[in-house]
Amino acid sequence: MRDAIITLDGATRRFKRGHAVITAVDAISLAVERGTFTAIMGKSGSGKSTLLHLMSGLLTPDAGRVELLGNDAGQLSDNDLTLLRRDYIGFIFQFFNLLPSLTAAENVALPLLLARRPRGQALSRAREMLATMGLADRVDHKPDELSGGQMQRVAIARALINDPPLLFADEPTGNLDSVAGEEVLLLLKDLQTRQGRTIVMVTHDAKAAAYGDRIITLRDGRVQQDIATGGVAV
Amino acid sequence: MSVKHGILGILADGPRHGYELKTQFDGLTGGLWDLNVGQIYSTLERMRKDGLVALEESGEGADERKTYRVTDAGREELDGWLQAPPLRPRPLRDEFFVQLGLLIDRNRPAALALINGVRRVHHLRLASLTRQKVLLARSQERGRIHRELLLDAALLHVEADLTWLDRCEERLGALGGGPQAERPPP
Ligand SMILES: Nc1ncnc2c1ncn2[C@@H]1O[C@H](COP(=O)(O)OP(=O)(O)OP(=O)(O)O)[C@@H](O)[C@H]1O
Ligand SMILES: [Mg+2]
Repeated sequence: MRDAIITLDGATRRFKRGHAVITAVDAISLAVERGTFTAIMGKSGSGKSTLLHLMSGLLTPDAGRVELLGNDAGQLSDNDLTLLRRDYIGFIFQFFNLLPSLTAAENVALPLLLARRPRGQALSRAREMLATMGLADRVDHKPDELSGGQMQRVAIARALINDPPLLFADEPTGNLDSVAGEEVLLLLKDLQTRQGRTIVMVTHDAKAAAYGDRIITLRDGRVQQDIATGGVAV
Repeated sequence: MSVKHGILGILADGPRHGYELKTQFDGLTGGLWDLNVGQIYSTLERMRKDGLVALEESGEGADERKTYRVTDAGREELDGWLQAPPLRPRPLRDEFFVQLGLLIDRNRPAALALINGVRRVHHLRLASLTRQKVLLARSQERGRIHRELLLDAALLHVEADLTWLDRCEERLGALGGGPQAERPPP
């Protein structure tokens, strides 16, 4: 691998369910190169989210190794993992995870505010970020005054506020209609091709996965197929 | 047959020569319909005999040009066709259907391997269609909406094929590794 930003080597994660043990991710080995857009597909329960959590340091492996941005994730303390995620990784979720009582700008500024950056500076940076997402006229709106597509763009702006090189998205279009979904996918594609960020996206939608330049399909916690599609040039 | 009607529709805007017709026809089908200029000329020739188009020649020698124009009978034919929903959608005919039929009881592992291969091909096709869609979204090309809708049609069909492949795999997987695993009914 030329320049891997994530490397999994036999990574395994199990969960207890009653007396049974489920192997959600079963000895997966793979590497993600810097600047690529990887889509992860598979049926419900095939282990997509668990794999994403292992790749992003939200979970650590029970067996095998995960190397994330040059660190052995299994060897880092919880605190170090938190800092690594805060400074180098952005997350985007299916249900946006915006705080309902905050405005769009405040939601986007939140990571900076939590890091004790001056409020005025944080908010003006958030406004700039929202403007680049075409949301300049929505900065003072609360989430319930925004459409699904707008909420997801706010969530993407929030994920980008620390300028992370690595973005993870779990079903980012799962709650959007096809037009809003395509806008979000085009945006993610731009973040890869124009800004050089690395993107890993979980989706069950093959049309969404087609925006990636690599599609990994999972089955029962294992890689079923690993397909290089050549990607979408933009 | 809609090559004929497509030609009539284009000529309804004004006379064209054969090569212009071919380019505009490709535009109408989003380039998804392989048609060579020879087929255009043979169709035009038949249409001329049927009185749907008329040939106009102008110029001489190297400047000689043949253009076609639609006749009144041609316009009538076109109007009728534009109001008639096609009764038979495209035929569902796929090489893989035959391969699957031959492998399903003879060599199930080979059938499953072939399913993976076909899935890969479909994902590559989705990526290529998506690439065209992204380029189109960034262009201000005339006729963009029609072309975008055709790409959507192709994307949704490939998606349906992928869903069906998952079903094939599930059904075959449930049957077990091969014909030996199947017991005859008691
Ligand atoms: N925290 C947990 N505790 C117990 N079991 C879990 C936990 N997280 C995941 N699992 C189990 O691990 C398996 C894989 O789950 P995962 O969420 O990774 O699947 P998924 O592919 O993301 O599914 P979906 O498409 O439904 O989101 C499932 O059987 C799930 O029930
Ligand atoms: Mg999931």
